[in-house]
Amino acid sequence: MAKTNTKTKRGPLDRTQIYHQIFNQADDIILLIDRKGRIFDINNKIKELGGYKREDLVGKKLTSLKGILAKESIPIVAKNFIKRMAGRKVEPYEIILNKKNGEKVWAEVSASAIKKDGKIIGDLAIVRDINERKLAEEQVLVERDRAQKYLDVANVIMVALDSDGRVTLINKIGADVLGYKEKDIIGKNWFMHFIPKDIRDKTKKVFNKLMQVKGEFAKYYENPILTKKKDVRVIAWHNTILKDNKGHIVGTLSSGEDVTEKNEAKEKLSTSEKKYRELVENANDIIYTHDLMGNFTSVNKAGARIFGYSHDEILKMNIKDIVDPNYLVIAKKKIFEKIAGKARTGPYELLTRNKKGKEVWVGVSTRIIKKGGQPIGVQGIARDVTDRKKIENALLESEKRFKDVAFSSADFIWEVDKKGKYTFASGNVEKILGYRPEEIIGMTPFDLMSTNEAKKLKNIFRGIVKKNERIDDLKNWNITKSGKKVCLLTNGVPIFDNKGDFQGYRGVDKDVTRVEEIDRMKSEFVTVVSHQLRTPLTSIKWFLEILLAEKDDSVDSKQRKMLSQIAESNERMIKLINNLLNVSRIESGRIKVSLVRTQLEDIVKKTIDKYFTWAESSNISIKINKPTRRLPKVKVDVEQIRQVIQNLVSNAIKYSIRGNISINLRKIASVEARRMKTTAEKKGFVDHTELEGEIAKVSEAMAKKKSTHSVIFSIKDHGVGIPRYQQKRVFQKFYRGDNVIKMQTEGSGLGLYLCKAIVESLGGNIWFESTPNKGSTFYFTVPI
Amino acid sequence: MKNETRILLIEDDQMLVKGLVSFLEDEGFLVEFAIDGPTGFKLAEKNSPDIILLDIILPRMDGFKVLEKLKKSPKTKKIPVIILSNLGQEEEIRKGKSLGAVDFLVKANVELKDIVDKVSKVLKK
Repeated sequence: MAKTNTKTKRGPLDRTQIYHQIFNQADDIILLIDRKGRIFDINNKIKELGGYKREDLVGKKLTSLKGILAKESIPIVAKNFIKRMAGRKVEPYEIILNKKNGEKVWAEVSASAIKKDGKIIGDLAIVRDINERKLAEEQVLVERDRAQKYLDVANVIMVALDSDGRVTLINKIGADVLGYKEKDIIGKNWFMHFIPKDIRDKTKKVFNKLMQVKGEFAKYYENPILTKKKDVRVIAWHNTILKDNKGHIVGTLSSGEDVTEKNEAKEKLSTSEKKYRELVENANDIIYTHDLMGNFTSVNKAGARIFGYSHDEILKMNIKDIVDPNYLVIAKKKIFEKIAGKARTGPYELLTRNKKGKEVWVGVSTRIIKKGGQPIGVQGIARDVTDRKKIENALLESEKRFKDVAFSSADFIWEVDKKGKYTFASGNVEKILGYRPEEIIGMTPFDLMSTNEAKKLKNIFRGIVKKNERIDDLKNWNITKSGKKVCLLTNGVPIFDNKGDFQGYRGVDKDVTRVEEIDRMKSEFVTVVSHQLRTPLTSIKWFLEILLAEKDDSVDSKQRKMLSQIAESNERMIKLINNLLNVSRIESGRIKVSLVRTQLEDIVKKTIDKYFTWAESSNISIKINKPTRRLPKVKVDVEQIRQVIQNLVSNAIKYSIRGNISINLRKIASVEARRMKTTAEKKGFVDHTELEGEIAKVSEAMAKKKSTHSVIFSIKDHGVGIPRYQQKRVFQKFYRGDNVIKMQTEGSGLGLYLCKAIVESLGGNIWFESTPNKGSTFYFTVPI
Repeated sequence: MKNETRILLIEDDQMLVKGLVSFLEDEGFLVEFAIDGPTGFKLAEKNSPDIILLDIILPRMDGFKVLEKLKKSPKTKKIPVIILSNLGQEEEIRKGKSLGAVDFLVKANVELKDIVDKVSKVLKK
């Protein structure tokens, strides 16, 4: 058209020539059609459609242009031609032309009727190739369609706003979220209607900035919206700016996602994650992870604290740096088992070492961390159980010790319940009683005794149980499975549960049958010996007495003297036997001591009476210094204490060289008595004698009893004395001093041992002070 | 009085019997003796002596048993019994006395005249 304009400006014009030029050089296809619809003329543009020639088309009817016109376009062309011929105006319309090569080409037809003298004589049609435009249009349509589908299907809200903030587009989801219909949203101001009041201004500002492309371009923006129900939903927006073809900002297109629930969940998650983290960090247990190689990948504070390493140090370490080599095998095995999904392995205990090398026992429970189904590491919780383990180990050790003792001991170890039934019996019971432990369980000790013995023991046992006392050296006779008699010495302690309720007894039975047998034999032996030895000595004694009593001259003086000597020797023999018997009796503990509260003074007088004559014959005087006041009574066995006094007095007489013997008797504070003994010790008295047999136990027990006062007996002689080097042996059995042996005095060496045994069994003390050739003083005390 | 006094001695040791019997007879007592328990008991029942000297270790029946029977039998229960034995431990003395013996003399520790003194003392009561 521009060409046409420039040409019209040139010089004088031949109009027909001009029209002809336009016709032939036009960019559009121009057709002249007569009233009957035949082509009057057509320009050469038609050639561009591919192969059609002007000459071929002129004179042909429009409707016969089937090859050129697409089938679907023919009715439109025909309809519009008729319309024009009828004198009606026809708007430009689109048709499809077929190229010779089969391509389709969109074209726009703009036609108008040609009139001559007011009469329609034909039609002028201009056909413009609009194929490019049409294709672009089509593309847009496809895109739009696709977009619309996407908008409606995608789970996002799409909102377009114009520069004033009015909604120009919203998709179905957007409408649904807001709770309105699409049409009720379009055209409304977004901020006024759909943004909560409190954040309206702020949001508007952001929008305005977007419109001016000032400041930050908020591509991603999260804000709440207000729904029809006045709910607030949080939407995460992704904003795009819309520009017109001149580059002016005309609005925004935003896609939004309703993140209300997501945010809530996220918030919850972050809170719980925080909580979890806190828990982990502040836990007393060690919480850690390590990879499959055993390299630590995380550890909490407790881990660092317990092992004494810093957090960072641990992260550079491997489990083998901490776990004891012997336990590393276990740790690895457990992990492999877990990976293999084998038997569910519960918590297990490992010995580990801290930085200082100190043992730390941990109870561990682990699980495998998997990623995509593949194990990648181990997560574990370890508890420091060192203290418990120590106690456990100590218990185990003591239990083992107990067991070792129990089973190595020849004694029978047992437990009985409240009813006295055996609940435990060590294996040795079979050796002792012939019953196997399992046979004994459920029986009572009394089931193993004769009726009489059981009756006796039940009584004793009842008394012990009533007071929850210990069973102390209780002797009892039992009958073995094979019917043999066995003497057991029972010791036991009551058992109480945690509440302090009595549960039974636990103890040890010692087989003392042999000891009892020996004891019995010994006592029998003593009896037999005393009887058998004394009897012939008695006949010697009595016949000598008869002989010596002869008043006539059948026995002369020389014979009489010799008979007296025989009698004296015989007496010594009898005394020796008597002393031996006494020692054996007192040591055996078999003698029944009858302690009676007695005036010691009276016993001393009575005992010494016998000795006055003897003393006189040896030119020795005995003086008793009576206490000014009557002494308090002491608990003694009269017969025994008499023996002590006899022995001390007869010693004093025997070993006196000259002068007198003085006996003193008084009350004394125990403290003072001890001081006196200490004084004696300073002067050289030492006593290394140990009592033997039962009497030793009695004395030991008595020595523990404290009394504030005693009665002290002392006897002072002026005799040979005891050499210092022999003083420590004076109380020993069968010991006689060198000097007294030389004196050829009679003596068994048992007297002072007996004195010691008797005095100490009464809880008293005996000692002496002695200077050779000057004399000795013997002391003994009896507690009041 | 002495001449009327009849002593029953139950003692199994022949030497002792000889010595004792001869001494006691010299002292003017009428002495009978038995050398085992059952015979001793029978004699006591039969002859009702004034006093009995009884040993403990005896054949066939020991002295304690004899003493028990003597004290149970109405014929003999009032006859004083002195135990004359070479046993002499506390428990034996206690047992003898509890069974009714008036005294317990240990043979080796007494002289013959002590026995006579004791017999006289007991019979005086």
